[in-house]
Amino acid sequence: MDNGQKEVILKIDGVKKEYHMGEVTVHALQGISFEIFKGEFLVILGPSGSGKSTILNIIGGIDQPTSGAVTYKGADISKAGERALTRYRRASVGFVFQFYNLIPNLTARENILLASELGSNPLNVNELLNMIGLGDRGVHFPSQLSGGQQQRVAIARAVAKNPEILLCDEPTGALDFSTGIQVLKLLKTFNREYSRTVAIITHNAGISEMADRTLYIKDGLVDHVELNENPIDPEEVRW
Amino acid sequence: MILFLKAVRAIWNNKKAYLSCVVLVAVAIYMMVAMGSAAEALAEASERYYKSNRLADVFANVNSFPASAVSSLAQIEGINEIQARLVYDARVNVPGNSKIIWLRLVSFDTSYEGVSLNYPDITGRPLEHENDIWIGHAFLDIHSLEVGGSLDVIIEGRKSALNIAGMADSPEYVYAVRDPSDLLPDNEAFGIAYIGALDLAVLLDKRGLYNDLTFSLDNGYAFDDVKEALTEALSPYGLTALYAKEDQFSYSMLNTEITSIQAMSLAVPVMFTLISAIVLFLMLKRVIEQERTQIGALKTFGYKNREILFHYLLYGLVTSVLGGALGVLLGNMSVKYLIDMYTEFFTLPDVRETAEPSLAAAGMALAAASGAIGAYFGAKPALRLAPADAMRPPSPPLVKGDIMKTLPFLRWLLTSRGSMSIRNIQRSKARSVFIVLGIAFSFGIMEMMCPMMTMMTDMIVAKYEYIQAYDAKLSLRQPANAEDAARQAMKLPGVTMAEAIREMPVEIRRSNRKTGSILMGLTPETQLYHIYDDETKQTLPFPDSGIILNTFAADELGVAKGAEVMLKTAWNEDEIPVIVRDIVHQNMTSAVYMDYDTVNNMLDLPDSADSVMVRTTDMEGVKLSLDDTKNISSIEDTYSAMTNFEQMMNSYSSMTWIMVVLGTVIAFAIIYNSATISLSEKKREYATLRVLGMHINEVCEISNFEYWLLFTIGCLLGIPFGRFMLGAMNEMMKTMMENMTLPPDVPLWAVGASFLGCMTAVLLSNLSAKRTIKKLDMVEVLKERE
Repeated sequence: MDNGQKEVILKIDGVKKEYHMGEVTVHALQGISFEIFKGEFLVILGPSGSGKSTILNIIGGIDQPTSGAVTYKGADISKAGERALTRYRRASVGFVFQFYNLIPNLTARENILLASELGSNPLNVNELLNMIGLGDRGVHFPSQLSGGQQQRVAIARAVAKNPEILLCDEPTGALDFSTGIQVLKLLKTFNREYSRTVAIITHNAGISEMADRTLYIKDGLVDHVELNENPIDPEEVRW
Repeated sequence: MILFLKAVRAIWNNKKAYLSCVVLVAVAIYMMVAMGSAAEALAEASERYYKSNRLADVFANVNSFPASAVSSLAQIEGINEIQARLVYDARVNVPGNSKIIWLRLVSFDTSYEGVSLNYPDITGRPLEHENDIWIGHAFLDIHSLEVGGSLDVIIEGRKSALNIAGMADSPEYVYAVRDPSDLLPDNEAFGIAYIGALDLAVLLDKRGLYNDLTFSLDNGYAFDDVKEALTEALSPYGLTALYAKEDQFSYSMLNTEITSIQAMSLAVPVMFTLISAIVLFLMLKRVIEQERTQIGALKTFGYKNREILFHYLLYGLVTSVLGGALGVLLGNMSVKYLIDMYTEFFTLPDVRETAEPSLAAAGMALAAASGAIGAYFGAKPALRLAPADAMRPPSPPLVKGDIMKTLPFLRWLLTSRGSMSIRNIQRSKARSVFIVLGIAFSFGIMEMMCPMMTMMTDMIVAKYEYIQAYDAKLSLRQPANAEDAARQAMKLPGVTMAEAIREMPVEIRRSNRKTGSILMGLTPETQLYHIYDDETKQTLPFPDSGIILNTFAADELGVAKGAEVMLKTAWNEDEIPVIVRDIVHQNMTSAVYMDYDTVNNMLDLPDSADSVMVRTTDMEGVKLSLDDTKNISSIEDTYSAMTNFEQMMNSYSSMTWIMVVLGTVIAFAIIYNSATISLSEKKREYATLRVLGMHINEVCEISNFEYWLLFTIGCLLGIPFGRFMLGAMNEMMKTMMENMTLPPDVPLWAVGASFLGCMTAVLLSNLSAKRTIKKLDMVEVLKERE
C-alpha cells in the first residue's frame, strides 16, 4: 500500500501518557507517533501492557495524552474540551468493545437505534440488522442473545451513526473461533462497502493477516509497521 | 477482624449513602426514647397522682344542692363516697393587668371530714383564719404572689381580700383551663384556689348549699350504672352537667396527650427504621453484585457462608447501631426539655425527667434488628454464589416481560433514551415502588402539615370576624329581661352596640343517638353574631322556626336537613320535637341555633336573656366597670381569645416545620440512596453512552426522566394520602377538642408547596447524579469487569 496516496485521517504525534498510581508513575505511552489513513483496515498488535488500549482510548477521544498531539482531519483533539470531545465521538468515532457493553434493557434494534439517533447521517437500522444476520431477532434483549450475536449487535450499533472511523478493542476476545470470524467479516464489510476506516487493537496476531497495515506496539512505542499488499479474507484467518 | 475493617472502610467510602440511614435510624430512636420516656413519665406520674389524691369517678354540676340531701345520694347503688362543694369563679383584681383574670375558688372542708376525694397537694399552713386560701403554684408564680400575702377578688360584685396561706395543686386541674373552648391553659388568666367551705358559703351567701358534687364508685360499678339514678336525683336541683372521670376535661386531655405521644413514639420509629431497612437492603443487594468476585475469592480461600454473611450483616449493623446510639444519646439529652415542655401545660408533681432505660434498650434492639434484617435480605444472594460462578462475570440481567409490548403506544411517544428510563423502572420494580411510596409519604406529610398555619388563621378569622362579630360577651348569672340587659350594657364604657341572647346547654336526641351542645337563641336582626358556614363561606338565612345544627351534632345524630330531633334543656321536663332547618359547618364553634323568641316560647320562658354581646371601643373600661356588677358570671374577651389561639399556633408552628423538614429529609434520603445505587448499577451503561457520543446532559436525561416519572406518580398518590392524613388528624383533634375541626380541603398552595418540597429532593438528587456522571472515567469504568 502506498502511504503517499492515502489521506491521513488521524495523526498521532509524539504522544506520551503517564498514569500516577499512588507514588508510582506508569509510562503507558512514551512519545508514540503514527498515522491512520482514510478507509484502511488497521490492526494494532501488541502484548499485554504494551499501551495499545491507551492508544485506542486516546484516538477515540475518551482519554487525553499527557503530552503530544492527536489531530483528526487536521484538528487537534488532544487538548479539546469535554464538549468538543463528545462531539468528536458522536460524529466521527464508533466503538466496539471486547465485552459488547450493550444496554441490557434495550432490545437489539433499540440498541442500534440509540446510536443512530445520535448521528446526522445514520445508516438504516433494519438494513444493519439484516446485514448482521439478526433481522428476525431485533426484538430480543441482550440476555436473549449469544455472545457472538451480542457482538454483532455491538458492531451494528457502532456503525449505525455512520462514523468515519471504527475503533475495536479486542472484538473477538470473548468469542469462540467461528463466531470471531463472523465478527471479523462484518468489520471487513463495513470497511469495504462503506469505505470507512477500521482500527482493531488485539494481541491476536492471526487477525493482522486480513489488515491493510499492522502496527506493532512495544513498551508504549511503535516497534515496527507492516504493510500487507494482499490482505486475506476473514474466512481464511486462523489463530 | 480483617473483614470487620473491610466493612468499616466500605461504609466510610460510601458514607453519604450510609449517613442517610444513620440519620433515619437516629430520628427513629430519638423519637422512641425521648417521646416514649416522656409518655411513660407522664403516665406514671398521673397514675400515681390520681391514685394517691383520689380523683373522683363521677362529676356533677348543679345550680344549688342542699347539704341535707347529700346523704340521700349515698343510697344510690354503686355510689361509695360523695364530696359536695361550692365552686365559684371570681374575678381577680390585679392593678395594671389588662387581662380578665379568674380564680376558681373551690370550697375545702377544713374539718377534714369528707375531704377524701380530689385531695390537693398542699404546702403551707392550714386554712385557719377567715378567707385563707391555698393557691395553685403556677398562678402564684406568674403573678409574683407570695405565701403570707393577699389577693383581691370580686365575689358577687363585692371586693374581698383573700389571704394566701399556702399552695395547693389539684388532680382535677392538671390541665387547667376555665372553659374547654380555651384549648390551652393560660396560667396568667386562670388559677385554682382552695378556700374554707364556710368562708366561701358566707361570701356567696350560700350556707348549706353546694353546686359541685363528685363521687367515687364501689368496686365493680361504672358510670353508666349510676348515671340514670344520679340524673333523677340531681335534676330537681338544676343539674347542668354529669360526666364520668374519663370525660373530665383535664383527665381526658392528659390521657389523650399521653396516648398520642405513645402512638407517635411507636409509629415514627417503626416507620423510619422500616425505611432505613429497605434502603440498607437495596444498598447491600448492590454491594453483593459489585463484590461478586471478592465473595468468590473469600469462598475459595475457605471462608464459610456464615462468616461472609456476618461480614455483610456488619454493614447494616454498624450503620443502624451508630444511628441507634445517636438516637439514644439525643433522646437522653432531650427528655428533660420535652418533659419541661409538657409540664408547662400539665401541672403534675414528681414527673421523672430521665430516659426510660428499657426504651433505650428497646430502641437499640429495634435499630440493630432493622439493620440486620435489611442487610440480611440484601446479602442473602451471597450465600447462593458458588466460588467458581462468583469468579465469572454475571450474565446480562434477564428482562422478564416488556412494558413496550404491553403498552405499544409508548414506542411512539418515547425515544430510545425514554425507553431506557421506562425499562429501568420496570427492571427495578421493588426500588421504583419504594421511591414512589417514599415520595407519596413525604408529599403527604408536607401536604398535611404545610396548610396547618393558614388553616388555623382562617379558622380564627372565621370564628372571630365572620361568626362572632362582638368584642365581648357578658354571661349573666341569672337570666334577665333582654331589653333591660341590653340597655344596661349600652351604658358600659365605649359600648356602641349591645344584643341580648339566649344561651343554654342542650341535649339533642334522634331515636337512640344523643349529643350535647350549646343552644343559642339569636334575634333575626342580630349584627353581632352570624351563622356563617366555613365551607360555603356564606351566612345562612335565619330560621323562623326549627333549629340549625352544626355538622358535629348532625353527624353524631345521623340527621340531615328536614329531620326531626328532640331537645332537652334544664327548663323542660319532656323532650320537645324540633325540625332541623339547616346544617352549618363551623370549624371552631359547636353551637346550635334557634330564633330567640322561638326558644323562649318553646320552653315557656319569659322574654329573658342569658348573655349580652357588646361592641366596644373601650374594653378596659368595660372590664373595670363590671368589677362591681353582681350578675355577670363571666366575660369572654374576643381579643384575649384570639391572642390565646395565636399562642397555640406558635406552639404548633415548630412542630409543623419539624414535620415538613422530616418529610423532605425522608424524600431526599430515599431518592438519593436509590439514585446512588441505581447509578452504581448503571455506571457501565452510562459510560458506554458517553463513548457512543452522548453529552452529559443527554445521559442525565435518562436517569432524570426515570425519577421525574416516579416523582409524578408519587405526587399523584401523595395528594390523596395527605388528605387521608389530614382526615386522621381531624379525627384526633375532634377527640381532643370537641368543638374544633380542620377544614377538609387542602388549599392549592399547600399542594404546590408539597410538590416543590419533593421536587427539591428530586432536583438535589438529580444534580448529585449529574455530578457523578460528569466525573465518570470512561476508561476506568469500561475497563472494570462487571
